[in-house]
Amino acid sequence: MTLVAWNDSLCIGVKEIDEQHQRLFQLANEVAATLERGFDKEAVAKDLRALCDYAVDHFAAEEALMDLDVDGYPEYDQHVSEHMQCTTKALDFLGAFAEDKAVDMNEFLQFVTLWIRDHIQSMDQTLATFLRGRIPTA
Amino acid sequence: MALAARADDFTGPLARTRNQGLLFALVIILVAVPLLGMAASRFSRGLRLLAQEADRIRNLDLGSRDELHSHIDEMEQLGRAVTSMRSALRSFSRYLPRTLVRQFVASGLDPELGGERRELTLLFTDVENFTPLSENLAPEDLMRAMGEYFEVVGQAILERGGTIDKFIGDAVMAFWNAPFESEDHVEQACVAALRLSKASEELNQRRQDSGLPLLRTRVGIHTGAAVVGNLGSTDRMDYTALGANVNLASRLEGLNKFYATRILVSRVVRERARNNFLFRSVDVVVPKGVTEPLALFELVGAMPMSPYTDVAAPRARLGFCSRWERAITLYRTAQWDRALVEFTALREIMPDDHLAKMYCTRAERLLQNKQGKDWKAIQRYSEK
Repeated sequence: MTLVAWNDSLCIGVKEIDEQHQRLFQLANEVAATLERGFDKEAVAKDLRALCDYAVDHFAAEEALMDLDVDGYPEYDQHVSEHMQCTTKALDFLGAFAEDKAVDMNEFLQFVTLWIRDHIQSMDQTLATFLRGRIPTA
Repeated sequence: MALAARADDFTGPLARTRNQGLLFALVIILVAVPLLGMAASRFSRGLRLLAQEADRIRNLDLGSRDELHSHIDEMEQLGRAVTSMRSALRSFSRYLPRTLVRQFVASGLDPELGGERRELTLLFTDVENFTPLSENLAPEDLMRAMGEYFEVVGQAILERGGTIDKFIGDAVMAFWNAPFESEDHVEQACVAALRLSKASEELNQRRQDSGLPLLRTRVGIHTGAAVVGNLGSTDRMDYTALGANVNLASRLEGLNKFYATRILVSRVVRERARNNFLFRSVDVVVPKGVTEPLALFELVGAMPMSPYTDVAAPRARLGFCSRWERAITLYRTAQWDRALVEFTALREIMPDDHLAKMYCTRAERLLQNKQGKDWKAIQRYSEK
């Protein structure tokens, strides 16, 4: 089952970031695929970790691009807050999962995929616009 | 024989006397009415002033220094009685939570013993290293310093609609959402914590300039159900809150000393206030006497885009905290080598940050000891 399908409307036009977004979609789908094969905690945990690790690296890459010009990028506050919100949500979920608490895996995956899509279509678009405006002068 | 005489000859003097009498009466009336009116208006003005004063006293508005004077003895006495009642109440009211008493007066109900279960946001503060500090100061200086300090802290709480429950030594206990209901009590408590922190720092600045020891405030905030109401005996009661969540808020305050943080909050506070405030993950602990692990968060400041610009965190802190959460994620998922790299980088950005230093040490230790898979990111405390 494909949880989220990539389509070109999600491209923001910054090659490095677009590639990372596609990889995030791929990793989210892998978690869903592992879950489909039956619940194997070890396997699910491994896929989840891979997804979260990649998301963390991706946020770091995006923030590194913004940090060069904290005051120049108008959506900095909002954008970084959204990253933080997603990171802490994942952190809370991974913590509960590791402690064998009852967790709603589907709800979490739903949250992650919706979040990624919304975030790309709003925040990342404005970042791309900002970066495109900056590159020629840099 | 008949005599003709004018009636005037008989009644003339009488009529004159009558007319004079009428005229005299008219003059008396003309003079007396305004005089009476003046006297009556003086009387009623005095009474009106007394009634207004009584209304102000009812609302515990005791600031006025006006005194009522009158040439009428009884009025003068009444005025004096009101003035002395006001000053007696003024000294008395310093021992009272005024908003609370005002509410009881307004409701027309007698405060009764007993409480109700309600969701509260609880805030505890205390002064870092108070015991050694109090031993080094003359008692008079200590009283003066604490008076000034409590004024600053109390003001910040009251301004955001908090109820000050009590002052305990160097500590303050306050809560929100009782007796007045507040929809955003978590948020109000967070603003108050940041403002009182800021105000006490400003106070410290002045103290430092005068060579006085500093009073650093630590704060704990937690939201949860508690029993709130009047406790005590029928002739002396306290409006207070009780319950495990109250103790937890106090425990959070105490945990600041292990992390060199200023404001520690629980997960529920972070969840409810995250839109307008910046938090960072501190640790997961099992405090003494508690079985459930408790996640700790530091309240760093208000979000730069929130309405609370006076206590907003600098924008660069936002990036720092986002990176911090990523480092914590690496640490909690047992990727200590990567976590160490991140925490080291964070430490370079903020060299004075005790938490970054602490996590560097922890990651280094874990790398050396090669912890197994069953490692849990939970700290246990055996002391309060």
